[in-house]
Amino acid sequence: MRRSRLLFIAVMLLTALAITWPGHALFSSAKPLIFGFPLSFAWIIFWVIIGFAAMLGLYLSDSHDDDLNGEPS
Amino acid sequence: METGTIILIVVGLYLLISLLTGIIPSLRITKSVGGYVAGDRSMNLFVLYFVLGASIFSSFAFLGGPGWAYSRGAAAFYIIAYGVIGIVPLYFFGPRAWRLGKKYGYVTQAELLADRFDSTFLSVMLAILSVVVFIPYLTLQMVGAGYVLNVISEGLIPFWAGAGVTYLIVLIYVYFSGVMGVGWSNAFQGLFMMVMAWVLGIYLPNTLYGGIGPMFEAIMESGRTVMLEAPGLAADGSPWSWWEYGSAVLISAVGFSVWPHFFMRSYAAKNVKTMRLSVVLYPTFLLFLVPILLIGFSAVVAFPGVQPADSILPTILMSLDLPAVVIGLFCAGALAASMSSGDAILHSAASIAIRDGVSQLTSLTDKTERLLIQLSVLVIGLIAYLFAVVIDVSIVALLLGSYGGVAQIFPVIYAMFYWRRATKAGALAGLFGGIAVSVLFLVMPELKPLPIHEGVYGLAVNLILLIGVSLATTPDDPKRVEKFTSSG
Repeated sequence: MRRSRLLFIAVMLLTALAITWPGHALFSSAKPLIFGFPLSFAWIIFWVIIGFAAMLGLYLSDSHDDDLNGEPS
Repeated sequence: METGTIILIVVGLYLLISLLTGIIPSLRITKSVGGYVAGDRSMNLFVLYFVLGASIFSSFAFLGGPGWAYSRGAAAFYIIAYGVIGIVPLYFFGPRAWRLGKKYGYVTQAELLADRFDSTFLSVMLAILSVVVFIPYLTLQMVGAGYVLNVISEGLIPFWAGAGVTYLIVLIYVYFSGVMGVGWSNAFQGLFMMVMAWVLGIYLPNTLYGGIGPMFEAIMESGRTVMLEAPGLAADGSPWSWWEYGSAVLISAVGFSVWPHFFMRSYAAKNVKTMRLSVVLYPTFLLFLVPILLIGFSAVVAFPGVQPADSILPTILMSLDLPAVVIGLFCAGALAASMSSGDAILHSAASIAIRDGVSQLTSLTDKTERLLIQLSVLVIGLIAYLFAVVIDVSIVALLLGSYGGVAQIFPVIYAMFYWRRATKAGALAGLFGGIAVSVLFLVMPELKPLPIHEGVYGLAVNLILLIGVSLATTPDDPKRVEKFTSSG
């Protein structure tokens, strides 16, 4: 398996733990407010952005290696 | 002009544009089953992005999302959380399904599974399961549409008429246009819905409290800090447990990418690159749920005690002194949420019922099959409408149960692409064993050893049976297996 895919899967497993337990439990309080959002809410938004960045990274890596139909070029 | 008339004109214009965007783009598509179900595999990034996004964000998100934030606080974050991991499998499954579809003509999820596991029975059972799950799902969308129009018009539009007119439009464009009608109307509805959600999600905290931060501070000062602490509150107002929150996120994430109507959009993509990019961009659609929750939070202090909680959005709209045009636009936004899911479900339910059910039992020409799918659109639409307006059953309970059932499809999809040793007996045992356990704990929750989602128990049994029975039975034909495992 490509190294970029392994790295991506590791980040997504980390995301899964971060948005459930124990990650979210550690950042579950209402305070402090981050940009006006409670910490518990900002934490989830942060991980959605991390997930998006990880997928974008994987896509760019795959696009570099593959053709239009996803076959190795 | 009277307020009610202005609202009706705005809603009428919205419905007209939805109809046109649903009909016109499909004129370029062939009159074949492939054209009707998979849009001749020609969907571009713009449309596919909105199809994936809008078909999931339904009446439940637009009305239920604010309702959850209003009544259960941080528990509502799970609606945002599961999507970010739930979409990931589609990045890997989608291109494989697309390549196999292009090469062998597949247009549904069950066709792939039935071929890999050499089982017509599996195809027919999945068709029945899908239709059984989709009808209550569609009914809920109709209820949402009828409800919004009824509340906003202050009873002027009866529930049955609101749901009827809205879904007559959906029936027309789905009947004539198939997936391309669904696609382009979803693009319009999705854009419309996102704009409305962001406008309202920013406007309400600013108008009622002077900003998002002051709004959350007001909630804390009112003594409801516990609402903002994860994992929020349970339905009865007591603190929710991490077991329940975590398992709700897990089971929703597992089931997310394998919902049959969602999965089968893989076939409609123009190419693999388009498929992958629309999946990658999906989390941007998740951020649309942030303002949706802000709408609910804005009402916690300003509008206490509203029952049922799901009615909080129309209640806020009618309580503020907003211009009629603005109310009409938000009303249309709620209809967009309902229609963008309803059309996709209707189209998929009809396609699956015929393609994976009837076609497997009897030989049909392409023309007859397409006609039967179109007729099924009408029949399924009518059945769901009857449930919505005539028959009083607990649809929500039925729908909640279906999430645990749909998640059971995930292991067999994974095994189809990645595990050569999976056999027909293992797949059937895992799928139906998982569904049976999930239904058992749904009906008898007191039997659960831990307070986690019944679908998780189903998944555990599913995996044990899939692996155990597969290893205990003769391997499937390696040539057939190779076709699927080498599709990556």
